[in-house]
Amino acid sequence: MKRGNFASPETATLVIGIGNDFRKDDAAGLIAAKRLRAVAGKNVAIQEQSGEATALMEAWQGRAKVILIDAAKCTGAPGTLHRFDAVKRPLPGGLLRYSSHQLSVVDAIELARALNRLPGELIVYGIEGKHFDAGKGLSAEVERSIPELVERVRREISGD
Amino acid sequence: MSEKKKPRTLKVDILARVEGEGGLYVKIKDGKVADVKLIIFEPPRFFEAFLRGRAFTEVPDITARICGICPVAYMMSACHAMENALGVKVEGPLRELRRLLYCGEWVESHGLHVFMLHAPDFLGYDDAIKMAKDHADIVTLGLELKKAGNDIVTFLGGREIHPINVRVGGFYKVPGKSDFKPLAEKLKRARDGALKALDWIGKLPFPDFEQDYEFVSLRHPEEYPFNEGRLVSSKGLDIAIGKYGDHFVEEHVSYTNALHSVIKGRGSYFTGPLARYNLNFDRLPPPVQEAARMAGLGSTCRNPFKSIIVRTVEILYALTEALRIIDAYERPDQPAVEIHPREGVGYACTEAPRGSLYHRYRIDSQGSVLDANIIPPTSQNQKTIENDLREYISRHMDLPDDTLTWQCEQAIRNYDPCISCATHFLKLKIDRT
Repeated sequence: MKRGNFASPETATLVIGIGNDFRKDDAAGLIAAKRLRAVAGKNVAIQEQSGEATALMEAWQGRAKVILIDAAKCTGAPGTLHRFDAVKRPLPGGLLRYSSHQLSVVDAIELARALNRLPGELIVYGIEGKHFDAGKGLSAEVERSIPELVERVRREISGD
Repeated sequence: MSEKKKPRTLKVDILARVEGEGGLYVKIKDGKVADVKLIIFEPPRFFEAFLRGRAFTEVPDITARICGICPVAYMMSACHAMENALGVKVEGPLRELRRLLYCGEWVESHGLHVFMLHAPDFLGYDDAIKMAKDHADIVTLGLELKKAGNDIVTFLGGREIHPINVRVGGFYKVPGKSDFKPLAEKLKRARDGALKALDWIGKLPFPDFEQDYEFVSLRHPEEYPFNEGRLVSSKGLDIAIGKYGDHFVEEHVSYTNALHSVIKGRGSYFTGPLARYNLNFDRLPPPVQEAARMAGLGSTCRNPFKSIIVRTVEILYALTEALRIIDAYERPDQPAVEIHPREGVGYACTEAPRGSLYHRYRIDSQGSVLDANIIPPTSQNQKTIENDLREYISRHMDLPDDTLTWQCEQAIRNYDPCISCATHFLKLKIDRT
């Protein structure tokens, strides 16, 4: 799955919302990306992806700055936001849920690090989910946090 | 043997690089393998039950959700079974496009398994990330090959996982001839890469291990099989797919949630790349045969550890076949043949990356599913995996626990098991008493 603006220049910040529309809170990254389109400035490219590793690596290759948004599974409260600088240090293992039989988003980042294929800057926003079983719709806690998540990513892009 | 006097227990809670949840239990008593159980404890997902009452047109998309890595196989088996029930034959460019889509899935799936999941075993790495630090070139090549498979599935199917362009009777939308040009260029580069990869894979160290397997796969009069053919075996089976139920049976086994499939009166069998290769070597194009020989294979291969070479040969074949299909392609007048529901029973078997995938459906006059039966390749290989482990451990009883455990995991990965298909998989425990 890959939907987005492929015409944007490589100098633009690339935002990739990751998730599965049919796994409840796992859709949080996709929904945040959709809402970001309405408020983000011109110098940004926004994509929605499944999180498949080779597609991610291809998307961020050669980019100066990339922001990933994905649902996370930690021990904190649902809706809690996390920000990681993935170029500086590896992400905590098992953080970003991935429901399909592929390499995970964390695997993609670590493979890219080993192969020297990370973008110049890679910021990962995780939003803690509550339900990841089959179905549509975010939990109330995650839904409440989406506006703050979108605003933080918007500020991250614009440098406000 | 020293193990007789030294009771030991080995336990690996999560077997890495195999998807799903389940376990392996091995009991070694008095220096002999007393028990091997492949335990799949993931709950059943009841796909066959909730397909009842659904329209025949929905079945390819519903069954595709059984697996995130071989959805095309589910779509193809479902489409062919429904078309069989409805008396429809999809031919010409539409048939060729289906083969092309399957090429994409094989490359995608084999690319992931060969380079990211299985190759690290042979070189002593925990995973592809650690392997990438020492073998960046081959891991990069593997990623590029996998991406080439993704590109085919995305181009024809609309996205790389769970394509949305497949329907009973054909496709929703078909490309024009010129649309293929950028894809063809990528696939040519990937084919060159597959040849390089095959050279590298063929030089990995392989344990010396063979058993008297019964290999089972499709066989087509002219083609290396994807979608069509008779089901044949290395021990004389040769049947039309409609006769599947006369020769194969699924058995409940108390310790696992996945059914075991066996050949009636004979027991376990082996499906997947090794079976396809052994039963269809003569259907590979001569340049692919030659590449296989250069990588150290004969026209048959009975060592399951060498399945990694055969998978790479199949990557090369799939890319070669994809380019042939693209070269000969002419856009069909319609993206799908017309379908009218009628009462009937339909059967199909297609070759998923990890083996034969059987579907049978009974539908009513309105095209609603009355009942369904789906037998995925991992269910079919379960007994053979257990047999391999029993034999392999017997021959290597003196290995230290950690080495033996590692090699057991590697032996399981020879089959690229897809536990979410079988229903899911794996923890490993070895008891020595």
